[in-house]
Amino acid sequence: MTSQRLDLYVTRDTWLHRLDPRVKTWAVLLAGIVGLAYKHLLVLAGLLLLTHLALLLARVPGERVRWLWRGLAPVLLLILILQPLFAPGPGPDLLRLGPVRLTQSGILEGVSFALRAAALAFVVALLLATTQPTALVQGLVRVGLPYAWGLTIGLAIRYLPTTYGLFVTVREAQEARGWIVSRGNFVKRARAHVPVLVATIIASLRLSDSLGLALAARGLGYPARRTTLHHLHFGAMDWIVTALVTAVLGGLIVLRFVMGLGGRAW
Amino acid sequence: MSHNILVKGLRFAYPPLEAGGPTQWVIDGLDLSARAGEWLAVMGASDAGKTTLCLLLAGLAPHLTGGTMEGQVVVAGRDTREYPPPGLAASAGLLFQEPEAQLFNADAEAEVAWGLENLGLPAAEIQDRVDAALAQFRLEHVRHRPPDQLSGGEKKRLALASVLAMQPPVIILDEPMGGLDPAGREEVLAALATLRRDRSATILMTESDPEAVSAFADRLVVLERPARQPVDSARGQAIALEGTPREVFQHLEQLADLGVSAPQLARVAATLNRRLGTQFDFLTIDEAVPALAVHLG
Repeated sequence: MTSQRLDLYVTRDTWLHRLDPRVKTWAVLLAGIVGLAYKHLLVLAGLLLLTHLALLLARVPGERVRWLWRGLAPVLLLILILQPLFAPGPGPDLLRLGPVRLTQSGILEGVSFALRAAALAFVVALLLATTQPTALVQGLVRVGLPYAWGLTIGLAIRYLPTTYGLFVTVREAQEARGWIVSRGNFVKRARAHVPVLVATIIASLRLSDSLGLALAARGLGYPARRTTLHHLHFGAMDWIVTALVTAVLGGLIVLRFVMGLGGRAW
Repeated sequence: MSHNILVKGLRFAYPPLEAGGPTQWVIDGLDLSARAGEWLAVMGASDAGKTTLCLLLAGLAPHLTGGTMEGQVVVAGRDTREYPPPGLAASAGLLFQEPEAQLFNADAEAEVAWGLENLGLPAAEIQDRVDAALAQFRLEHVRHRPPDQLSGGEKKRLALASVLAMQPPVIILDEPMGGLDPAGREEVLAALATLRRDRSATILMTESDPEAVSAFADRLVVLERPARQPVDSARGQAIALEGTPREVFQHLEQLADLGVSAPQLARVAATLNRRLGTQFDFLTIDEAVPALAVHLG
């Protein structure tokens, strides 16, 4: 079931799922600022750990978390390898091969960047795993985003698995007719994927065309004030979590920008 | 008698693929009408313009597709030229051939509610209509399930429920049986049967499945194979055959020429009539069994 693998929302009834989407979006915004502003390994590792704790509390299956780690692994590996090589930073050389230098600060920066990428990815994954796209859109619209923009974000999330499913279907159909895309080195495989991508893009364009017609047929833009079936309710738990998140993450942001802490990896 | 669907002298051509390229009529000279509560089926070869007709009736063509249109299409008293598609949403509901593009919400309940929210209905009424639509199409058990995790039959039923919840006086079904496995086909046939019993809306259904047509339609129109005439040509005649399904399915050779299947039992009856000199005219198994029993004594 390829379509389910990219569908990040996990149907559960935990307090994290029940939180108002505006609280979660606010938390993601603050966590994103912390993740981007800080280089310090402890802060970034702490953010990553906190996110995993939240995923555990949200009862997101371990397989889903491992799947995300597997998807991120090549990117993180590239960061870990390339960052120290291309930006070795100050300090004595640990290794020197011609123009290539390897330093402790370069390695720590690489680890910091990789941790940052992982932390940010899991922060967004946590939001998507615990928030229905419809609720997310509703939350964004309630804080002032035009409905069409919110709908666009919701549709992008909704059709991610469908587009991936299309890609897999096209690849399997072409492989069944002898077009092998999974053999050879990286460049060869990348080239073999070009016809698969072209067919996927064409199919996606057709789907988006039909989607536009379907949205209009169901009254998007109908001359009436749009209502909603379920109203968002900001309860006591929402206020508590908002206060807690603002105090902790907001405090970290203040420490970074006012006191200048955490600007270095170590 | 009032007509919920009125099509007069309709011609339609999509925009050419490239600027200055040839433009040809996809539908050429269609006159059609359907009364309130009538179920009209439209059959034709795969390129006869059936889906285009659905888009025209829903007002999506030419407003969103572009193209050249002549003649008049009036749906529930509204001329589609004068009403852009969102304005027609409460008048004409369209079930698309591919449910994938039609189901874009997080779960089945949100899917049915979405169109009603666009119409600006109060939350209590939306809830009532959602509950009724999910119950009517036996979808309560998937209320909180994402549409992409439903079976083919469930997806079609959910798309149908989403359209019907808006209670439009005209319902347009584009190949409701298309792309379904036998189980899904049975599910959708049962869903259509509930529509048939209700009889409150005018239904236009394009369909390649002759069994479904003979089971539900009051009247059947078979479209000509498109001649693809250039836009400056004289107006053609889009309808090749028209009548009740029983009348139309007597013309087996003409239907074959038009690229349209007849019910298997209609072909059996025609063969028996030719070889044995009998007068069978059954279309369904329910009609065939007693007729054959009488003949066999």
